[in-house]
Amino acid sequence: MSEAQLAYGALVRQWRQSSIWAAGQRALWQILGFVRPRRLELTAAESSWGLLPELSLAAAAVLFLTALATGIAPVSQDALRSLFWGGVWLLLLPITLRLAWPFVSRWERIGLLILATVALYVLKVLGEPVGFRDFDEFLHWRTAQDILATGRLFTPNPLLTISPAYPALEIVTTALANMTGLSIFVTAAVLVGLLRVLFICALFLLFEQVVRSTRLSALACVIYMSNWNYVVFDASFAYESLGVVLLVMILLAEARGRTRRKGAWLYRFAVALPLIVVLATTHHVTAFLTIVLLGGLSILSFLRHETPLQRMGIAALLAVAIASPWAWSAVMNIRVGSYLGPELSSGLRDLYQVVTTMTLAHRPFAVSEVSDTPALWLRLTAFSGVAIVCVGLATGFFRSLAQAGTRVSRGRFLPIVTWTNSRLVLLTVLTIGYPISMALRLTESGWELGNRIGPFLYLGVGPVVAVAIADFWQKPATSRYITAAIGTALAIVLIGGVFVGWGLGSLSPHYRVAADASSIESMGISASRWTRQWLGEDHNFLADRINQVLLATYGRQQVVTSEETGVDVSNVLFSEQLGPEELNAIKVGELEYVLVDLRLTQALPVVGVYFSKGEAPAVHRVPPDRDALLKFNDLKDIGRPFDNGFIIIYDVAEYTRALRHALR
Amino acid sequence: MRSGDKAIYVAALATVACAAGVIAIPSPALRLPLGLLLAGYLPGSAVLWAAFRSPRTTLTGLIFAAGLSIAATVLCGFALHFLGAMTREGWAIALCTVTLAGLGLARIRRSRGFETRPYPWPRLRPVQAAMLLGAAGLALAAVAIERHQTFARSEFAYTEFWMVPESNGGLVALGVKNEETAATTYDVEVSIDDTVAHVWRSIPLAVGETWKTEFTLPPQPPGSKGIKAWLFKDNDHSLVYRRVWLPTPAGD
Repeated sequence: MSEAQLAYGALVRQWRQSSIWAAGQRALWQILGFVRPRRLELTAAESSWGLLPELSLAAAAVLFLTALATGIAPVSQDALRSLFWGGVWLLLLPITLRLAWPFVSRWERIGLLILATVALYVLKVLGEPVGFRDFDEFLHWRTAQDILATGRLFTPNPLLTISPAYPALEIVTTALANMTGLSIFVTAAVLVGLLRVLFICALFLLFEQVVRSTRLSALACVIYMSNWNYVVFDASFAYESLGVVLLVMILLAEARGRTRRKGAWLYRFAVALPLIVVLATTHHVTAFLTIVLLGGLSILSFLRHETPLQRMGIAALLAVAIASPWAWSAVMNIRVGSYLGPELSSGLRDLYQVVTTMTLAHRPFAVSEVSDTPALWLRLTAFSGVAIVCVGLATGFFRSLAQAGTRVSRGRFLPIVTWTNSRLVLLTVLTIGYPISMALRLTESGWELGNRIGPFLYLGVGPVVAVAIADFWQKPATSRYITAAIGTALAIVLIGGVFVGWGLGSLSPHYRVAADASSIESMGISASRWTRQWLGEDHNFLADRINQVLLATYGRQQVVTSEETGVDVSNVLFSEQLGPEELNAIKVGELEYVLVDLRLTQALPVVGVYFSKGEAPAVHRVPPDRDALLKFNDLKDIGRPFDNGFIIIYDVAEYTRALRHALR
Repeated sequence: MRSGDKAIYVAALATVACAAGVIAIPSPALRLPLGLLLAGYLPGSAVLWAAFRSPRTTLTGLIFAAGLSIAATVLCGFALHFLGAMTREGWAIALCTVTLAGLGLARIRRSRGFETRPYPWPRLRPVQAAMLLGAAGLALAAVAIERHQTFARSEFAYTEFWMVPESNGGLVALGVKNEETAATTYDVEVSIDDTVAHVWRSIPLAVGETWKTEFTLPPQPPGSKGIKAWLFKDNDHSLVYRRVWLPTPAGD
């Protein structure tokens, strides 16, 4: 060792012995949470509803005024957005401020969480008060329509082939629609609203069971609610909305089943088991994530040397959780792997590319290149929300492990890690996936994957950030300033999540090209209804993405897609002339009608595609040419039964018949 | 009679009443709460009662009752699918049967009644209840206002024009629907082989109003130039406002 190295070593030793180093180390340890756990529960002395009635009235008044204000005069896009997000702030800030106050009763906390959930749901309903608008809702609406119309399950769905194989949500919806005589839309709106309430109550009880504190549980629920799928996607009429409810109930029943109360084991077998079986028929991804969570719990349970009965109990649940989806996919002859596999592999490939090249493939807050850029303050709110969650995770990770009774002691060869609360350990470890899901959201094809797994990771993010708040940021402080700061931070996190989930597109009061919810308007609906009334049901239609869902639901038609036929049908609409490929697509798709929407010529698609993800990139590089769309005018054997100036329907049945005859 | 049995019989009676209400009551709005009880609470509640030998009235019990009811509804759905009975009566009877089976099991297991479980919720004062009701009313009013505004709002002003063969006997349906911003007068001309065959002049249509007619098509000889229909708006014959045709030769 050289003299210089020796001198450097001495300097480092001297520095480490100095008081500044020791103080810095202590501070870092304090921040990260290498501390003894302390009791974090704080609650009101007596059980009451507290300020819940007053806050409910205030929230309802905000909703009422928002609805009233949007109808006073024609509202510009910017004005509507300001009005909406201003309303969201007014709605949520008082609730988060109250929830941040340590001395609130358990029932008031539950009530406030239900209030926030219902208020956000009503806000969603205000965006679609007369019919479905979210794209995914149409896919499941068609399945529900088929069940109601035929009185049978498993009718093929041209919009989403896998949907009839997972019909649980549609079964419950059509059961209610049958029994009440109400429309599927109204029934679904009521059912999903109730599922939202059930979900937040079950989540509160689950967190309460795991962290053993109503205060932490309420804070964890608020953080959970900030996940980007909570406010829109999980509140949509889609299978995941029921799937997540069942998942949380299964975890709650499992957690209740491990208590030492008499008959507690019944929660696992009388409650969790049937729910696991039904989940297998509800949603594939949620069923898979249930296996992951129960598998993790099983491993922790075996490592912790819990009693054989406990270990057997959770292993039995895991076995059923694995067997049910496998058996269901075998019975239904579904290859879930081939449905989800490409998404997963392309997502991970994109993630690798982002990590190695450090280039963003997906702009934050944007679905495509033509998506609007949100206002600066909205972007700041969203980024601040993510930053607060990250800081919460950094300061809460080790604290949560400490709350879980984790101890590290020296073993003969390796350190021995022990813990007392396996569920909290699992949820804490789950947060390691949070940065990965955020990174996936910055990739082109991994966006979808990151979007889907995010909410499941928030099952861990919620309690960990809640522990950070209660143990480090707020402590048992009764200072109104600290409480206000924490409440505001919670509001920023929550509203940031709501904003990311909602986006700007669905708030647009005006029609936009291929913008999913913003493309659903009365003229397109009327044209699709016309097809049902005047042409009859179940005709093979070719149309763009938006008119596909309208035709399949309002029109009850069979839409021809590239996924179904295996050939690219988009060029039949967009090419200037019908060449061999287009003629083959017409023949293979057995087209009877083509619906041309001339509004597509106005702009590029907001969601990035005019038809589906698989369409050739050339299709959406420039808006389609009007003459290309109207090429059917000049073709023999083609009729034009409908024209409303924007939407034209061509009758190509005779043309297809002649084509098939000629090519035979 | 044991108090537990009495509670079970009352619950069974309520379940049967619920199912009967779903089948017999004509109003959908009145059937909604009964349907929700049958599909979202009663079966699961009965299962819990049988499993735990006491009714679960805590928040956890309510949540699990709802979850198990949804599970029971899904499983009933599969059974009704195979029986071909996914009807109002089928659903009511199936869910009622599951609930009664659960209650029967609870009776066999000599389960307890409600009296052993204290009511755990805090008391709601009348003023607080009024505030919560007011909040619910305001939220419903907000949805009603938004519904009204959505129905009244139409971004595009347009006119639908159509011509569809109705039967093989040569009957053709022709229609116009006015979705413009104001009442409008239309003219319709139908030409066969480029010769005007039918004309309808000055058809007044209010906003949202539809005009429909039928005409018989003469047999088309081979090489015919087809049947076209033109729509003119506000007596302006210099511009064909909408055009449709039947699938014979090429259009314009």
